[in-house]
Amino acid sequence: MHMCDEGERSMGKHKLWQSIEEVHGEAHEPVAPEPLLEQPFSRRRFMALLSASMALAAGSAGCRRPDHKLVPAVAAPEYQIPGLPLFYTTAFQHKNAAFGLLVKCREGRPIKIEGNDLHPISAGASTAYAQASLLTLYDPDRIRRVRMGNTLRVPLETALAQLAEALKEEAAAGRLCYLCIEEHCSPSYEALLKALQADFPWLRVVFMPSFLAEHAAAVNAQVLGIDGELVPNLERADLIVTVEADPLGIDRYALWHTRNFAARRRVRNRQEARMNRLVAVEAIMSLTGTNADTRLRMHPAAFEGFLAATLRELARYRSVPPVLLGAAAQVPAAYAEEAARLAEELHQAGERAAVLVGAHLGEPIHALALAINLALGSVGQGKVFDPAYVLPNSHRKQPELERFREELRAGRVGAVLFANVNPEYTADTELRQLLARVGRKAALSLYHDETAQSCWIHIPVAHPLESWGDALAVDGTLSVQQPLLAPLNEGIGSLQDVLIQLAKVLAPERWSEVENYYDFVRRHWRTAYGVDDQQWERVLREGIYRIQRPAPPLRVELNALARAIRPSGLDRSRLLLLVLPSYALYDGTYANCGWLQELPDPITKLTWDNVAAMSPGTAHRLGLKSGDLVRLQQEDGAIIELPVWVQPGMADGVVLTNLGYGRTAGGEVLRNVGQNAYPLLRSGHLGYTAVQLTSLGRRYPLATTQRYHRLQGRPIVQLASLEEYTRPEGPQFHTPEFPGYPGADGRRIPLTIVPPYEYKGHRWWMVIDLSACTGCGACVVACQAENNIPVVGKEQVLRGREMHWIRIDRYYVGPVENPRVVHQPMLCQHCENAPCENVCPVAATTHSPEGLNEMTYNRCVGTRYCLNNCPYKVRRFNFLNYHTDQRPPLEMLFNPDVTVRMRGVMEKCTFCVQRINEAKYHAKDEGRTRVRDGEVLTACQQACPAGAILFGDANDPDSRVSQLRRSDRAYYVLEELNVRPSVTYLAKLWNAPVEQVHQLRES
Amino acid sequence: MRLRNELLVYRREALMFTPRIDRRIKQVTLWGLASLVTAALVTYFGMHNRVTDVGYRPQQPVPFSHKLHVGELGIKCIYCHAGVERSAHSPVPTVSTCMGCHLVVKAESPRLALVRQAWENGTPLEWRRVHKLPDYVHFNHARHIRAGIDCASCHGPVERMGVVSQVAPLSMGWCLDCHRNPERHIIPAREISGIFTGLRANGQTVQLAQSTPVTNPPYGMWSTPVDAPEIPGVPMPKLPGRGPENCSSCHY
Repeated sequence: MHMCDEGERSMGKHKLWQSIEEVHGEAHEPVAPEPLLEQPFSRRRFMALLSASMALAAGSAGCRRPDHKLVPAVAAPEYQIPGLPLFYTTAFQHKNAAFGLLVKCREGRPIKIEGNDLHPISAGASTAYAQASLLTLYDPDRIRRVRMGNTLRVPLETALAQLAEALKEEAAAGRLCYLCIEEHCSPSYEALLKALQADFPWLRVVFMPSFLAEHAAAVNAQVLGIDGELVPNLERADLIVTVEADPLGIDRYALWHTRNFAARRRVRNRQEARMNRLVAVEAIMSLTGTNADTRLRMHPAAFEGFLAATLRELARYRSVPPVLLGAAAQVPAAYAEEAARLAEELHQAGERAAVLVGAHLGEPIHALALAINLALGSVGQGKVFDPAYVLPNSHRKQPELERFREELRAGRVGAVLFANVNPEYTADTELRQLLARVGRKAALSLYHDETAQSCWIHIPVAHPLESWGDALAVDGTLSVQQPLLAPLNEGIGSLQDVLIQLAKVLAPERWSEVENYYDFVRRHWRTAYGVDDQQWERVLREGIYRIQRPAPPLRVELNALARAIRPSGLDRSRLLLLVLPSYALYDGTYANCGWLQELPDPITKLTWDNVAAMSPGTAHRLGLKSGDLVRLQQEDGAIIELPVWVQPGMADGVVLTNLGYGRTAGGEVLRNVGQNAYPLLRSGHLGYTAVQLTSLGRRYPLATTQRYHRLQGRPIVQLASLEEYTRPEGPQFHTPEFPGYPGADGRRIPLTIVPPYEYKGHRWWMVIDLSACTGCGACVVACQAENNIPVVGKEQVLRGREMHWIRIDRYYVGPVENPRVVHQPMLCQHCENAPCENVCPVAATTHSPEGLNEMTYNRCVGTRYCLNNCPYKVRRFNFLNYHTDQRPPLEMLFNPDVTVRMRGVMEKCTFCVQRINEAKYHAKDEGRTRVRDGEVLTACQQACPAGAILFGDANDPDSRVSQLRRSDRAYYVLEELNVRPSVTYLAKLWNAPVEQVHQLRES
Repeated sequence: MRLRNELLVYRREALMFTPRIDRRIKQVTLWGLASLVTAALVTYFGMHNRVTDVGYRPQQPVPFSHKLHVGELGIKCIYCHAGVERSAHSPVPTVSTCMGCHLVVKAESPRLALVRQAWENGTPLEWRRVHKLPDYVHFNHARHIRAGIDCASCHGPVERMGVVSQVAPLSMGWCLDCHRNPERHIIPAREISGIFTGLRANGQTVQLAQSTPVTNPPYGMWSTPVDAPEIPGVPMPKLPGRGPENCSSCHY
């Protein structure tokens, strides 16, 4: 189907759909509500309650509410004033990716995480993981006391003494002690581990990542001499081709890539319309694929054929070494036509083109991509693939893990320490069996997870927000990780602190000078970077420190590259399974975080479950529908039972499922959520494997948030191609037809009986750029953190009661086999002529003189008429007391500036009115009468890495929102309803030729 | 006779159901109305802030006397309740503030035993809160201080109180009365409150002789005249000399 053919010229006529059921006209399955009362209510009980409440009512007249206490500190530091926030910088590490944070603290505890604007990677933005790490800080399931055997509350000194004794015994018997660590990017931690290994020769440190995806590192090591992954700098790319790579989604540096990518998508006006271009080649529907300008749906067996064909075509324009061409000739070509077109485009872009390959794909594909990149010249200093931008600690871990297994099999390992790793959950059967035979095991982690349960000693460690440390970002920016509050577990420090204390017990004389890890970090910075005390204060304040790294010389071993290029041999006749980390939970470390469990997956919009996603064609062939339970069995016997999810856009013959689910221990939130997909990884490697699928004949309810919002053919999302947009007569994006007259700001004002209102002072407005939004969901979690939004659980999400104030609607456009996808953040539109305000019987929702739709929680009686009337369905009702069952210390997480709502009260996005008020106070304090543009940032705006959300004052003609809302891409959702929203959307542009890329059929 | 008969007929035809049921309906309605009216009267007269809160005078754990410290000794409000000009809260002083004097002054007094204990043990004092607004209201002290409103406007003559009691109902209606008619209700900043003692917006202190209001340049004082608009064509917010009346200024 052409995206915009001759017959459908005007915008708004695209058929948008949201689910397979809608396309095929099937009715959405209603969920029957369960009866409220579990057991019958006896008459006697009723009378008892009634009389009790009458007595209470009689006695309450004239009585006062109970006393509250005022408890000031004994001696508070003078800069800490109750009621005012303090901001501290720290660093966030997502495995071996890092960026700087700025954390807002109130009364001595952190309540909100933001990105550090000075940090070049984040520039103020953050990810869903960074926002959610705040919840894990206050997680009640965090272990509080040291556990030894079956004894709780063992003092740390005792446990460490016993552990040291055991280690010395094992060392004396000639056995080794292994310390298993997770991937990190902290130079001080590395220095500490080196120091420990130097002092204790029986100690070995091994990286134990949850999964392995090392083909990129392998190819880079053989060809470029760099044992690690290169992180591309997408700012330097005009054309990005991804082969099942997900730089905008699951990539560890997704924050940086999204920022760089979106910066080239925000088109200002027709005259200067230049965008980058993203071509995605994939078998699964990834987040990057949904944002692609052109998406080629391709079976994974064809990837290397396609790339080989592209390389050969590229050789017609550029010089490609013959040895590489010879190697590529061995690979049978696939999709030659598309390869030819792509090769031409790549040649046009030259060194500003890059081919990215998914980490899970095999070496041949990485080698072919590297060959193309080398031919284009995009590998080199200052280019997209800069050899200085190596992901820290991304070297191949397989060799050391093999050595570890060898030692385990030989019985030479006497003790194992698990430092924030969980092999009981993630490792394969063999490794788990080998580990079970080790005599002494100790776990140092936050939760009593699967591994900790199998260990002799479990020492709780402090959360990264409670610890000192440092983190190195890929561009050479160092940040200090500083604690935001004293550890909630009294007396127990961070992981590194515990290691140092253990070292002190083992060798007191050598570790006497180092008091704790803070001391160690300071010393390391002094010796390694020459940072003295004054500079240290500055680094703490700003949060960044640049270090100079010498650019390594680039060498290319062409023969090695040629050897790596060969057919992969994926079997097309079998059903192929791919297991990838999930968007919400990644590898399962965040499984106990309610915010992330309830964050809808950007593609499937599922919460609280993982599924076996497959294409509509495959589902039809196998006779399956979404929700059918199936069993997937691999050749080596690994089995998993998952519900099916029909995912448009996937290639036929491929099934995708996610990691991070199916955990059995470690907290209340992660119980009975999804199925564990780790057993399906072969030796822990991600990749395509053949599976056999059998239907179990049962169904399983899936809590998705996307079926409740139908489109009914309305132009809620406006789209165009860049080519159409740049034509002078280009598409007009908002010309709804209704009787009216042109208004002052160019908008068409419908005829109405409501008199116009003049907004004095400020007029708050928001602009959301659909071309920039990638659908990552950072805004959703940021809003949840800022506004005390509860987590409701799977059962409530099944009833449509999720509480997110901002949601990202995902619309499909086009054929079911290969649709285009648009992500649209939807929040309260703060309509001038709000349908919700008109119908509230108690005037609990009103309009502020500055354009905000206000919500007064205490006045609301719970009629829900406003929710009924809202055309955008953005209002949320507290059906239950979601907050009353909070286990301590979760109440420390609440933002004190936002009311915590109880049952029976309606809530919705307030444009972060608490931040607006704060900005107004700040302006008044300085004697100004207006808030300046950029002084008030809503939580969603601040978190968005793509800069898709912009908030400001429309009365100020110089503000960015004023200018953007006059853009020729501007439109309003459901404008014809005459609700006059205060949120302008900028239409989504695709940088694709008007004629659609040919549908790729299965060959 | 005929009238009586007619009356009897009238009475019989006025029955809706059986006489028993009719009587029951009448009883229930009258009792129901009576209890509703009683409940309304009890609520309005008995449960309004005027009754339940005004005059509330809890005994505090330590017999601190504002009358002595503020009234007789002349310590300014802002000296102990420091930070009120910057924060939404008016912070109750820490034990260190008390001990600032009482390490030396009346260091052995039995009335200060609890304070000394708190200081030595590091356990805070737990005062009983007198003025409490519900959690869904966000009252901001700093805005009112910077508007030049004296503490006594809402808290009454605290310098004459031996034990602090609440003098104002602090209900929403009472707040709005002042927001709408500040001249009628406000006590302008007095010297005893310390608001005028030159704490400027940038934190610099000035000599007492140069008493100026806390905001510099003054904007936002309750008596501020209406300025010219900063952006031509966009009028100033409604009545800048008054307090806000829209819901989201306090309820968010």
